[in-house]
Amino acid sequence: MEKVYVQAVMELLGSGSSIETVLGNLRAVMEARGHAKALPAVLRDVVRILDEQSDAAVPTVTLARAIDDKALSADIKSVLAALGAKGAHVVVIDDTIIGGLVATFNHRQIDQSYRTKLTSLYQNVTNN
Amino acid sequence: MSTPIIERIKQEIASLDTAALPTDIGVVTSVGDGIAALSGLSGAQMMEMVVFSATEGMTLEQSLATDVVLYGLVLNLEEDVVKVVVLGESVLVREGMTVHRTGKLLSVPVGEGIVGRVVNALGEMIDGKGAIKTDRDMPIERVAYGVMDRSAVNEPIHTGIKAIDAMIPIGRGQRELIIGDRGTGKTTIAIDTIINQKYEPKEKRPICIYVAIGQKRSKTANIMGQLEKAGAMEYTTIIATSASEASPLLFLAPFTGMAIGEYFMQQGRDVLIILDDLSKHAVAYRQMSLLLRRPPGREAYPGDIFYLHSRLLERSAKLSEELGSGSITALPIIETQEGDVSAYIPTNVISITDGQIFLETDLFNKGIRPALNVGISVSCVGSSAQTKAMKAVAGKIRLELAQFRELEAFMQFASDLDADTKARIDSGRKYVEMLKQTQNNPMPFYKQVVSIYGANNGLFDGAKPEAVRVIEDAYQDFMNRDRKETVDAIMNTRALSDEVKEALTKSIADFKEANAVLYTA
Repeated sequence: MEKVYVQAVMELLGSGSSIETVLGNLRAVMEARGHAKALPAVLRDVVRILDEQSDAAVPTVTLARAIDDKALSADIKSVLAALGAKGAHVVVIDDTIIGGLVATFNHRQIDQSYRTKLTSLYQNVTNN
Repeated sequence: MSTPIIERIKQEIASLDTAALPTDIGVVTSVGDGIAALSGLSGAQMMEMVVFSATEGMTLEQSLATDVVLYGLVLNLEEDVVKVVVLGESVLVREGMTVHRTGKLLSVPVGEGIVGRVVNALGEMIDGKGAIKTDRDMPIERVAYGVMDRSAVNEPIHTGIKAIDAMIPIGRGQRELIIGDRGTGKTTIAIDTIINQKYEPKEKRPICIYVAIGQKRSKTANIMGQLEKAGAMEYTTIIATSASEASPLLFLAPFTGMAIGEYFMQQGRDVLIILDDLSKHAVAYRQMSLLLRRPPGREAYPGDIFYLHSRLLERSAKLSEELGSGSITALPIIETQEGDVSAYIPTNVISITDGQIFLETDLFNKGIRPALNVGISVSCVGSSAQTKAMKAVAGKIRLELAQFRELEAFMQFASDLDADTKARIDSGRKYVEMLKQTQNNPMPFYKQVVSIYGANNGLFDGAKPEAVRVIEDAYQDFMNRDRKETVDAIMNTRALSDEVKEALTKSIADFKEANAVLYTA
């Protein structure tokens, strides 16, 4: 039941209906059908889906240090191009990757971090 | 540390080769009961392996120390989510975790090195004997061989159990179900069959695979001990999944066994696979399906439970000469409740297999072990694979036992019965005694032929039924000691020539003359 309401909201938003109209109508329909208790769950799912869509649509580059954004600008550019990403990217700092970069766009990823390189080197050495 | 050194090390790390190609990733949106729902992964395939980034957010030191690769198996492709069963510790999976596609269907590493080892459902060693040397990966799910790739079942696989080899013979490439209540000796038959393969010539000896599905670890350890003691582990692989493991691993175990079996079959080798047991396999699949929110059907099993077992067992085959004549003989086991063979899973597997060995609690409690009900046990294709020697002696035993069963009910009126009926009952009781065998004591087929020929030709005449087993043991000793050439002739030719028959008849007379004391006891 909740899934159907979520689907309806997403379709209406996708067709260009205003958020106020969609929410007003949703509340009215759910109350009329006695489904008002499910409203928070439906809204949470809608937010999650919208978040995912926006996250996936924005190219994200994870770096070990903020200064790497400039130092690795050529690498970042080529990696984002390989992912098909255009425009500005979001930088996330995660020092556990040690160095290098991890680029994510539209549910695809290129991992050029030092941590992955070293882990794979370790696994190759220990497995052979 | 000086900057040039750090820079040099960084250059070295950067030059290490890792794939610069994009990989498809998904994100865990929910997880529970060993099932993870993922967003993304729109290109994922059914039965594809995915890898959870279990070390995400950890430092390099922590991630190397963890040494855990957490796999998942794609089992539901839905409109907006992909549902994955976690093949391992699902507590390590958390919401928001990244999941990578591998592009590979679930497969297990196989090779000669796997023989003699104990592995889990993913083919990883669990016996502490070091890494297994493997040649390649085999997909655990594959389409069974087609009609033109197969040949008829024409070679026997001896179980070492007289009642089975004589009356319910099994051929290489056959699927014979072992069915019965708990504690009736189903696993014992399977283990005895594995042990009996040591009597086969090395070039014809099948590779044995024992798949423990959701068994107690103590039972699996006990079975391993029995096989090691009997010297059978050198040609056996055990795939062990215990009751405490996640249901997806129990679901995978028999498929892993089949994949390993197919590797050897493709090399022209014979394989014997024991699936112990498919009742627990069905329960594991039911649990997994319900958690994946697949619609439940009869007894809450999913609609494809028949297809699950039929596609598994259809992979056992006898290949054509062009494909090397390899075979997989499957002995699936089903545990019934209160002898109810009309339940859902037993009827399914009965209809899939080429015959059944029924074991009964009543017979077991009467001391008839193996507790085989020969009246309702059948083997559909095995008789064409029986050796000529066994065929020559086994015909009479079935008839005698059938007549005995008819008259068994009258045994309590023994004093009022006519001489002919009494003789038939007496003969039947002696056959029943002769067919009894103790655990871990399989008998090679040539010895079975000697015993059954003896029973058919007066070896036990004049003896009490209680003395039958003592006489049989003594007769076997006598044959091995004094008439070895006759036993060897049966072993080598696998047939009963007129000369051999004559020698056997004479040996019975000689034995009775020399051991008259056994008949008067």
